[in-house]
Amino acid sequence: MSKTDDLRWATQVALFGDKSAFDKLTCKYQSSIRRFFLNLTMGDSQLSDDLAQETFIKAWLNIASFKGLAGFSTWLYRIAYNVYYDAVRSRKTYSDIDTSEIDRIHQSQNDYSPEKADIYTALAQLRKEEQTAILLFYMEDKTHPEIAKIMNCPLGTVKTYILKGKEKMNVYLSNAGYGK
Amino acid sequence: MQDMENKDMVSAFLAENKREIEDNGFSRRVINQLPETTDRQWIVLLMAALGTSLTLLLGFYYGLFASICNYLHQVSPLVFIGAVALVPLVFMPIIFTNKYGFAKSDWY
Repeated sequence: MSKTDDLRWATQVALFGDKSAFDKLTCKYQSSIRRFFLNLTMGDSQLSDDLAQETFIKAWLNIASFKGLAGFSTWLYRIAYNVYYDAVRSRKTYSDIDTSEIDRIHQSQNDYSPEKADIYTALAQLRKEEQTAILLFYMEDKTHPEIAKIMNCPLGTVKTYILKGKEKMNVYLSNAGYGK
Repeated sequence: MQDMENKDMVSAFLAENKREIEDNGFSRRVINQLPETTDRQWIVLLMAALGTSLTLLLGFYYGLFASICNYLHQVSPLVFIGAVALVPLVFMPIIFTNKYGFAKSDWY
């Protein structure tokens, strides 16, 4: 399934409101979008599924704004990024509770082994922007310019986020005994 | 963990933790939640009507069809045969590579 398939399905959705074409796009990207949210929410599968669902519904409603210049995947991650930061902002507005504490509670509520929890502890060392950039670059295989489009920030800023995030994770992983 | 020694530690660590998430009805739930949108099929019909009108206008009013027919009368039948024979030569490699060779995405 190539980028031309994405463009064909997106066109069918935009022109005819074709739900079966949108279903194909959802099936293709559900795993990567849900994984992206799962890592950002420190393993809260319920919250990540809710955010992923909101992302796909927003994509459905705003498909006419997809120009096809960037890939569909990049456009979808841009929506996902906005959905996540809207959720973070609303969480900050309505609650003064430390988000990292909530993350740890959710983490313990889900069935994750200590080995899997390591990645969330490692990501927790980073700022939200650094987490996003690191996950998009290393886990979702996005390029620097694509991340700049997704995060709507200059290319240099993206490189700085990745560099700083990588440094912090290297320190954490070295201290945790990885690479020895 | 041994192979991490020689690799970029962060990328190796994240690659190790990368996993595919099973759909488990997620896509179905999304499709069921989609709100109805306005039907934009009229755009396609409008463009088709405009295209047809333009073709007929050019064809009959400005004599485009007559010009094409006159031109075709002047062309040798051998040129037609050659053109027909060229079609598979042009399309066969595309069809062949699509079916057995590179993925479409490799072309772009």
